[in-house]
Amino acid sequence: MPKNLAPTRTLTSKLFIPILLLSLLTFGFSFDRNVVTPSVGVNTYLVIFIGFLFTVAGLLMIKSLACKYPDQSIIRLGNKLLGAIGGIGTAVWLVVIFSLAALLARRVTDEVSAIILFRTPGYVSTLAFLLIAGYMALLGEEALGRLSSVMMFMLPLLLMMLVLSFRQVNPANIHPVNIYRDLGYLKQWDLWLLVFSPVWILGSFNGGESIRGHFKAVILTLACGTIILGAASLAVAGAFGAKGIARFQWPVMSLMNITEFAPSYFFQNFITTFYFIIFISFAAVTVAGFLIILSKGFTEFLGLKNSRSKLMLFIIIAALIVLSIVSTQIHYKETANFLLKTGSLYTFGYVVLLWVGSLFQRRERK
Amino acid sequence: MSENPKIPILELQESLGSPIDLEIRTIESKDNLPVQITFLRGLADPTPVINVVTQNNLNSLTETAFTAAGKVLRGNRDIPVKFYLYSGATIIYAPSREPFAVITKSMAKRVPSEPVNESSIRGPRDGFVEDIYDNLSLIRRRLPDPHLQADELTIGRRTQTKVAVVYLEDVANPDLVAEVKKRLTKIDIDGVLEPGILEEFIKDNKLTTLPLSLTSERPDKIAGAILEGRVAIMVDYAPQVIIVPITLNDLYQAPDDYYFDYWAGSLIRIVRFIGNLLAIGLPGLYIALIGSSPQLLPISFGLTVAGLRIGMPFPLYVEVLIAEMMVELLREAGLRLPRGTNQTLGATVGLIIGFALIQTGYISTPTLIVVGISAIASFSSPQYPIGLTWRILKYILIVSASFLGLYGFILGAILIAAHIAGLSSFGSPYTVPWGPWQTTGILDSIIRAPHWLRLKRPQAAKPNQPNRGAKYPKE
Repeated sequence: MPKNLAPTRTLTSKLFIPILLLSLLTFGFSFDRNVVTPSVGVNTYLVIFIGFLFTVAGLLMIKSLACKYPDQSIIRLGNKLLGAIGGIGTAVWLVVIFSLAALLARRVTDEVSAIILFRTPGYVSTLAFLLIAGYMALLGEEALGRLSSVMMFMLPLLLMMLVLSFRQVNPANIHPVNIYRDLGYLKQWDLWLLVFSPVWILGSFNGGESIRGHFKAVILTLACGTIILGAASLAVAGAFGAKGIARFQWPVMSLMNITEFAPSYFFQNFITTFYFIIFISFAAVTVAGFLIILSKGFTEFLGLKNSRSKLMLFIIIAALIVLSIVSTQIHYKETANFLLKTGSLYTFGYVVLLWVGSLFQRRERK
Repeated sequence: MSENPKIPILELQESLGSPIDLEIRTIESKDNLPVQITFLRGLADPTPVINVVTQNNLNSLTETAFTAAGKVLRGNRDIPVKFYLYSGATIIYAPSREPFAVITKSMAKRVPSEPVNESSIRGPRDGFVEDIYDNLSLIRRRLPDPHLQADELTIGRRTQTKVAVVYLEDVANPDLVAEVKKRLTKIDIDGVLEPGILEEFIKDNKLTTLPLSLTSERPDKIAGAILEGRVAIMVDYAPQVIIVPITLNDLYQAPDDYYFDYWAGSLIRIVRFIGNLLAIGLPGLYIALIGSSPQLLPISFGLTVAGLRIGMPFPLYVEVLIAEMMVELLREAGLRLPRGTNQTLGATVGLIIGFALIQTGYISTPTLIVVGISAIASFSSPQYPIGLTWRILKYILIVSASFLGLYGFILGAILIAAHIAGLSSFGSPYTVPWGPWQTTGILDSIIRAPHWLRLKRPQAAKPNQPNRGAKYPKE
């Protein structure tokens, strides 16, 4: 097919940005409540804002790398900038993404098993989810981008749910920013690091053209996602109440309980149903995105030809299914999950390390 | 070359096996010398040839003399002259001359009439017919543009079917035109009887059930598509014309939308969109909510439906499948019944069987309502192939909902959406203008923006001239 008509090989910003936004919202909605402690609950939105600032800094580092080393993957950069350490570092990077994908899959499917499928074994839900995500990954980045772009039409539903939940948010929940007092919330790095981890993961692998050429659009998208997450945190924090003791098990339950529009069961279930539709859809896109990153990453890391990346994808899907079902480490219910904390810290730290390494290297000409 | 024209005619008769429609006549020229002509009755009219023979001496009956009667063709090693009999030619055998053919087609033709499957409330009533030249003339009347090109191809080893690739030279992307021609010329098949055969060959993804090209019998629709930079493929002896590339969005557009006010056009499109969602999703959602996750329904509603299903011998998904099969059978039978009886008989039989099934307790009333609404909704799309596609894909949602309830329904819907997102039609993403976002296309998607806002061509076909109102280029 002529080049003019052939599907684009690199992910354009039009297709990358929706994937980025959906991934950010997925991680934000799925994980933040699990690491939110009552003491920080009322200021989760502030912590997310701090995370946004750090993430912009991280994206600036990624942009610097993308401009200095155009169209080079993080694996190649790791070897080039960090030598042998880079090889180990990249391998760990890939393993962390693998773990995050498994965690997200379990996060989704365990909730489904708890609320919808009581009598179905949990592994069936996980298997079905990962097969669908695997199929999406097989279709490729461009298809994933198109699907994410279509799914953006679910955002108004999400915003509607948020707006409804704001009825119970009162000024006591909104603390004016006091730099001196609120610096203490920087201690909650494990919260915002996890929430924003897909941003630098996707940015490092897929965002080359977008981060270089459309940085403003990426930051704007990130800002929108942060505002939505912050608002959601505010709404969830509102359910804590002034004493900060009462805590609802699921975000959607808090939405249902605090909205006065939902005295009838129907409306509550309307919200529940749409919450699940949105959450499962977004999570599937995120896991598929991670699978694509893993297949490409492992293919390059092992020095295989690009044509083998599909075979690598099959292997990764199989391994992910086994890990998600079998491993006892893949759980998220604890507020201080070791894998979550260290994994997200590592993914950010590695970007910083590469950037620091690039400072001591000359700019590479195309 | 034979002095006696009877010899090659006898050879011709022998080689063709003396078919019933082969007619051989002897005509005298003006100087009373015999000339043999042969033709296939029903395909050719020999009158113009006879007139030329009778009005000229034998010596004057050269090929040039017959050019007024029709196109003159000589045979060669690759294509013997007898082959032209099947193209509606009359072959002339004059003494001491090589036989040659004169095209004098006279086949039964249909007059352009309103398309049966694409009727409209407003707009032109003519439709394509089975003659490629008549069809092309219907397009040219609407687009008297010197840039309108119609390139001829011949496809089919035995049928030698004429195919025309029609496009606006200054608007259509030349790579697109080249790709269309390339895919068509690659087709190696014995016969092309209908454009649907070509569609299967030129599809980007040959395994999908979704249509990746659009067919229409309406000249106004095809002209509109050509104006957008798309390419039309006309097939001789078929009233359907293929348009490529297309997107899913294009399958929900009808010419009526553009002829009525934009408010009405938008409302009709929204209704179509909702109808198709119901067609594909309603049975699966019904199974998911009633059969697997009744706790997600309002209590009063859930209890009512549960009450109507008390004592049903089959699980809900079996009920739905039985009802769906019944609808499919009625639909198919309705197509085959003679006209005049199909509607009455179909409705009566459907009512009787449906009533009987409910009375005997094999199917519950809510199931029949759901399946009935889904069946009606599947006809809301102006394009029949997409309705067929949703009829097939809804079974995926039925099966997934049967296994995993609402979760299965959601996963099934994501699977279908992902599949659609992965499709392309001649390089154009199938999900345009929603993914990737194209503002020009959004103005002509679920809503129909006013014509004074639609100043740019949709980018699906990557046209050379993006603006509709671009100044007409100088020759």
